[in-house]
Amino acid sequence: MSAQTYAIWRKNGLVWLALLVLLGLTFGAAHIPLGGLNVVIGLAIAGIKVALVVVIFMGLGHSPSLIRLAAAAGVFWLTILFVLTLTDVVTSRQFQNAHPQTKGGEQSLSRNR
Amino acid sequence: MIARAKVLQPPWKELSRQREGATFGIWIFLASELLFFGSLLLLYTAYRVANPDVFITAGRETDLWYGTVNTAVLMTSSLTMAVAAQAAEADMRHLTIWCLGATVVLGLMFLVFKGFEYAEDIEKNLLPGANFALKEPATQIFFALYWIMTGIHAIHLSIGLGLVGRLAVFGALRGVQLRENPQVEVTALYWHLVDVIWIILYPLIYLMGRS
Repeated sequence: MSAQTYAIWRKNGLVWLALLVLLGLTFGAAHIPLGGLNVVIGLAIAGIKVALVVVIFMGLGHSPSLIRLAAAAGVFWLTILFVLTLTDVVTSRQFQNAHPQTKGGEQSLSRNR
Repeated sequence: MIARAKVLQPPWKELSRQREGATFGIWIFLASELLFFGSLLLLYTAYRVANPDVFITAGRETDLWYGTVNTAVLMTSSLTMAVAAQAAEADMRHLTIWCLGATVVLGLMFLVFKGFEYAEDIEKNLLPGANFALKEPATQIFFALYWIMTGIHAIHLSIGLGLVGRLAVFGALRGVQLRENPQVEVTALYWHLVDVIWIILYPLIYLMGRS
């Protein structure tokens, strides 16, 4: 194996090993009862794995700023999509919990009757 | 110079500019793909917020082992794809072709496992409809999203297989020059995105309700 081949395998192989370790971690953590924290840990580990793939395998770490801007634009619009939609989803649910009488159509109908 | 002329396409006058343009273009495409899958993830999030317990009950019915093995397979294919792309830059033709081939084999492996998993899901009546296995109505919403998200992911992976396979075959037959060819990087970036999407889907589909 030439020095160059070794260097390529070493650099990417280490990322791959890290990805497999993280997969093992997330698999194990999912079996520990932590309630709502389980999904947080699952998504956090997924986030680290995505960062490894994007920064090293996809080379965003040493990409020109134009490329980083294109990638950031995707995340930016995705964030807007999530924040604005979930603003409605989450708050209307809280509103329902705080004021149960507005929950179902039946109840409000019976009140009007 | 003859081989280089094949890689350089109009309207570009310089290969370096063409490569910049190709990379920029695919990243814009990948950003739009992120929004495409993002809208499905948003739908998932909204329904999960509304039905937190039922989603966990439904998620427990997915096959954790197929999901985990397939995650490992796909991450390994990302390794071979990254090595192929970097080997192509370094003009290591054999390594490039072998790694492109390995990527195709791993991608096919993923689809075969997914096929077995789908067969098992159908057998367990997890296809939304009249004979659905679970009682709570919202479990059908989870499985509708499961089929749509994994199905669209599989379609993306199949397209990737075609692109990677094309480079492997034509590269080996010397029909395509692999060195400095923007097609290699563009294909690699697309392949990695398909992996990224799966990495995000994995905890949302397979890791729920296991504790």
